[in-house]
Amino acid sequence: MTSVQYLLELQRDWARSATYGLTRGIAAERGGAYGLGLIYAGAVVAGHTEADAAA
Amino acid sequence: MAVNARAQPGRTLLNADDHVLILIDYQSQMAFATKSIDATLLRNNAALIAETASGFGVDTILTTVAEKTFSGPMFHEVTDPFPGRPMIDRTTMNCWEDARVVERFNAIGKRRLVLAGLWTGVCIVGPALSAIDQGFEVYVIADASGDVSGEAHDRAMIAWSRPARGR
Repeated sequence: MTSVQYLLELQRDWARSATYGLTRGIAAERGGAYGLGLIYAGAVVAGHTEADAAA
Repeated sequence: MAVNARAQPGRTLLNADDHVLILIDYQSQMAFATKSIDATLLRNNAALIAETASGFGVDTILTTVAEKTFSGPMFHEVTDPFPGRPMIDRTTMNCWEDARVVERFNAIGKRRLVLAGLWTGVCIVGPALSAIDQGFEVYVIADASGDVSGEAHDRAMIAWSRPARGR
Protein backbone atom coordinates (compact mmCIF):
# COMPACT_ATOMS: atom_id res chain seq x y z
CA MET A 1 0.00 0.00 0.00
CA THR A 2 0.99 3.65 -0.13
CA SER A 3 0.95 6.67 2.18
CA VAL A 4 -2.12 8.56 0.99
CA GLN A 5 -3.91 5.20 0.71
CA TYR A 6 -3.13 4.56 4.40
CA LEU A 7 -4.62 7.93 5.37
CA LEU A 8 -7.75 7.55 3.26
CA GLU A 9 -8.30 3.89 4.17
CA LEU A 10 -8.42 4.82 7.87
CA GLN A 11 -10.90 7.65 7.18
CA ARG A 12 -12.78 5.82 4.38
CA ASP A 13 -16.02 7.78 4.82
CA TRP A 14 -16.15 11.58 4.79
CA ALA A 15 -19.23 11.30 7.00
CA ARG A 16 -16.91 10.31 9.86
CA SER A 17 -16.89 13.82 11.22
CA ALA A 18 -14.62 13.12 14.21
CA THR A 19 -11.63 12.62 11.92
CA TYR A 20 -12.77 14.62 8.86
CA GLY A 21 -10.74 17.71 9.76
CA LEU A 22 -7.72 15.62 10.70
CA THR A 23 -7.73 13.75 7.39
CA ARG A 24 -8.31 16.89 5.34
CA GLY A 25 -5.55 18.73 7.22
CA ILE A 26 -2.94 15.99 6.74
CA ALA A 27 -3.88 15.69 3.07
CA ALA A 28 -3.57 19.45 2.59
CA GLU A 29 -0.14 19.62 4.25
CA ARG A 30 1.45 16.36 3.08
CA GLY A 31 -0.64 15.26 0.11
CA GLY A 32 1.27 17.06 -2.65
CA ALA A 33 -0.96 18.12 -5.56
CA TYR A 34 -3.96 16.45 -3.92
CA GLY A 35 -3.42 18.72 -0.94
CA LEU A 36 -3.05 21.77 -3.16
CA GLY A 37 -6.42 20.89 -4.65
CA LEU A 38 -7.99 20.97 -1.20
CA ILE A 39 -6.31 24.29 -0.42
CA TYR A 40 -7.36 25.74 -3.78
CA ALA A 41 -10.94 24.57 -3.42
CA GLY A 42 -11.12 26.05 0.04
CA ALA A 43 -9.61 29.39 -0.99
CA VAL A 44 -10.92 29.99 -4.51
CA VAL A 45 -13.98 27.84 -5.09
CA ALA A 46 -15.43 28.52 -1.66
CA GLY A 47 -14.42 32.18 -2.06
CA HIS A 48 -16.31 32.45 -5.34
CA THR A 49 -19.34 30.78 -3.82
CA GLU A 50 -19.35 33.39 -1.06
CA ALA A 51 -18.81 36.18 -3.58
CA ASP A 52 -21.65 34.86 -5.75
CA ALA A 53 -23.90 34.65 -2.72
CA ALA A 54 -22.98 38.21 -1.73
CA ALA A 55 -23.76 39.46 -5.24
CA MET B 1 -29.77 -17.28 -7.60
CA ALA B 2 -30.19 -14.29 -5.33
CA VAL B 3 -27.47 -11.68 -5.17
CA ASN B 4 -26.64 -10.59 -1.66
CA ALA B 5 -24.05 -7.82 -1.85
CA ARG B 6 -23.62 -6.08 1.48
CA ALA B 7 -22.66 -2.45 2.03
CA GLN B 8 -19.69 -3.40 4.20
CA PRO B 9 -15.91 -3.03 3.98
CA GLY B 10 -13.74 -6.00 3.06
CA ARG B 11 -12.06 -7.77 5.96
CA THR B 12 -8.59 -6.85 4.76
CA LEU B 13 -9.22 -3.09 4.74
CA LEU B 14 -7.41 -1.34 7.56
CA ASN B 15 -9.13 0.39 10.45
CA ALA B 16 -7.39 2.56 13.00
CA ASP B 17 -8.00 0.13 15.85
CA ASP B 18 -7.11 -3.16 14.18
CA HIS B 19 -3.37 -2.95 13.58
CA VAL B 20 0.00 -1.94 14.94
CA LEU B 21 2.09 0.48 12.88
CA ILE B 22 5.85 -0.07 13.19
CA LEU B 23 7.98 2.83 11.96
CA ILE B 24 11.47 1.52 11.36
CA ASP B 25 14.89 3.18 11.03
CA TYR B 26 13.92 6.58 9.61
CA GLN B 27 17.47 7.71 10.35
CA SER B 28 19.99 10.00 8.67
CA GLN B 29 22.56 7.41 7.66
CA MET B 30 19.89 5.09 6.32
CA ALA B 31 18.43 7.91 4.22
CA PHE B 32 21.82 8.98 2.77
CA ALA B 33 22.13 5.75 0.79
CA THR B 34 18.45 5.46 -0.14
CA LYS B 35 18.05 5.83 -3.91
CA SER B 36 14.62 4.33 -4.67
CA ILE B 37 12.85 7.48 -3.44
CA ASP B 38 14.00 11.09 -3.12
CA ALA B 39 14.74 12.10 0.48
CA THR B 40 12.31 15.03 0.26
CA LEU B 41 9.41 12.80 -0.76
CA LEU B 42 10.43 10.10 1.70
CA ARG B 43 10.41 12.58 4.62
CA ASN B 44 7.04 13.95 3.47
CA ASN B 45 5.48 10.50 3.24
CA ALA B 46 6.96 9.37 6.54
CA ALA B 47 5.49 12.47 8.15
CA LEU B 48 2.13 11.80 6.49
CA ILE B 49 1.79 8.33 7.95
CA ALA B 50 3.18 9.33 11.36
CA GLU B 51 0.67 12.19 11.61
CA THR B 52 -2.10 9.87 10.39
CA ALA B 53 -1.26 7.22 13.00
CA SER B 54 -1.02 9.76 15.80
CA GLY B 55 -4.25 11.52 14.82
CA PHE B 56 -6.26 8.33 14.41
CA GLY B 57 -4.84 6.83 17.62
CA VAL B 58 -3.16 3.88 15.91
CA ASP B 59 -0.94 1.81 18.21
CA THR B 60 2.51 2.75 16.94
CA ILE B 61 5.98 1.42 17.70
CA LEU B 62 8.99 3.59 16.86
CA THR B 63 12.29 1.78 16.48
CA THR B 64 15.83 2.66 15.41
CA VAL B 65 19.01 0.73 14.74
CA ALA B 66 22.42 1.71 16.15
CA GLU B 67 21.23 5.25 16.76
CA LYS B 68 24.25 6.49 18.72
CA THR B 69 27.00 4.55 16.95
CA PHE B 70 26.07 4.68 13.27
CA SER B 71 22.62 5.47 11.93
CA GLY B 72 21.85 8.73 13.69
CA PRO B 73 18.62 10.27 14.95
CA MET B 74 15.13 9.44 13.73
CA PHE B 75 13.58 11.99 11.34
CA HIS B 76 11.96 14.60 13.56
CA GLU B 77 8.89 14.53 11.26
CA VAL B 78 8.31 10.96 12.43
CA THR B 79 8.89 11.57 16.14
CA ASP B 80 7.16 14.98 16.41
CA PRO B 81 3.63 13.52 16.27
CA PHE B 82 4.52 11.22 19.22
CA PRO B 83 5.95 13.53 21.91
CA GLY B 84 7.66 11.63 24.71
CA ARG B 85 7.23 8.25 22.99
CA PRO B 86 10.25 6.03 23.74
CA MET B 87 12.06 4.56 20.75
CA ILE B 88 13.43 1.05 20.85
CA ASP B 89 17.04 1.16 19.65
CA ARG B 90 18.17 -2.21 18.32
CA THR B 91 21.33 -4.04 17.37
CA THR B 92 19.51 -6.44 15.03
CA MET B 93 18.45 -5.25 11.58
CA ASN B 94 15.34 -7.45 11.89
CA CYS B 95 13.15 -5.80 14.51
CA TRP B 96 11.13 -9.03 14.82
CA GLU B 97 14.24 -10.59 16.43
CA ASP B 98 14.32 -7.88 19.09
CA ALA B 99 12.57 -9.12 22.24
CA ARG B 100 11.50 -5.61 23.29
CA VAL B 101 9.78 -4.87 19.96
CA VAL B 102 7.96 -8.19 20.02
CA GLU B 103 7.00 -7.77 23.68
CA ARG B 104 5.50 -4.39 22.87
CA PHE B 105 3.63 -5.88 19.91
CA ASN B 106 2.30 -8.70 22.09
CA ALA B 107 1.26 -6.25 24.81
CA ILE B 108 -0.82 -4.27 22.27
CA GLY B 109 -2.48 -7.50 21.20
CA LYS B 110 -3.35 -6.97 17.54
CA ARG B 111 -2.86 -9.64 14.85
CA ARG B 112 -2.21 -7.22 12.00
CA LEU B 113 0.84 -5.05 11.48
CA VAL B 114 1.74 -2.28 9.08
CA LEU B 115 5.43 -1.65 8.38
CA ALA B 116 7.25 1.30 6.89
CA GLY B 117 10.86 2.45 6.97
CA LEU B 118 14.39 1.99 5.68
CA TRP B 119 15.55 -0.13 3.99
CA THR B 120 12.79 -2.12 2.35
CA GLY B 121 14.99 -5.13 1.56
CA VAL B 122 16.45 -5.45 5.03
CA CYS B 123 14.53 -3.77 7.81
CA ILE B 124 11.09 -4.32 6.24
CA VAL B 125 11.49 -7.75 4.63
CA GLY B 126 13.00 -9.16 7.86
CA PRO B 127 10.04 -8.45 10.15
CA ALA B 128 7.49 -8.97 7.36
CA LEU B 129 8.59 -12.53 6.58
CA SER B 130 9.10 -13.31 10.27
CA ALA B 131 5.64 -12.08 11.26
CA ILE B 132 3.98 -13.82 8.29
CA ASP B 133 5.74 -17.02 9.34
CA GLN B 134 4.09 -16.70 12.75
CA GLY B 135 0.63 -16.23 11.26
CA PHE B 136 0.25 -12.46 11.44
CA GLU B 137 -1.14 -10.26 8.67
CA VAL B 138 1.41 -7.85 7.23
CA TYR B 139 1.03 -4.64 5.22
CA VAL B 140 3.89 -2.47 3.93
CA ILE B 141 3.62 1.21 2.98
CA ALA B 142 5.74 1.20 -0.17
CA ASP B 143 6.18 4.93 -0.77
CA ALA B 144 7.12 5.58 2.84
CA SER B 145 9.89 2.98 2.52
CA GLY B 146 13.08 2.97 0.49
CA ASP B 147 16.20 1.06 -0.40
CA VAL B 148 19.64 1.54 -1.94
CA SER B 149 18.29 1.16 -5.50
CA GLY B 150 14.95 0.97 -7.25
CA GLU B 151 15.63 -2.67 -7.98
CA ALA B 152 16.37 -3.41 -4.32
CA HIS B 153 13.07 -1.82 -3.27
CA ASP B 154 11.05 -3.54 -6.00
CA ARG B 155 12.59 -6.95 -5.29
CA ALA B 156 11.88 -6.46 -1.60
CA MET B 157 8.20 -5.68 -2.19
CA ILE B 158 7.94 -8.92 -4.16
CA ALA B 159 9.95 -10.91 -1.61
CA TRP B 160 7.84 -10.05 1.42
CA SER B 161 4.50 -10.36 -0.36
CA ARG B 162 5.15 -13.79 -1.88
CA PRO B 163 6.97 -15.70 0.87
CA ALA B 164 5.63 -19.08 -0.25
CA ARG B 165 7.13 -18.61 -3.71
CA GLY B 166 10.69 -18.08 -2.57
CA ARG B 167 12.83 -15.02 -3.04
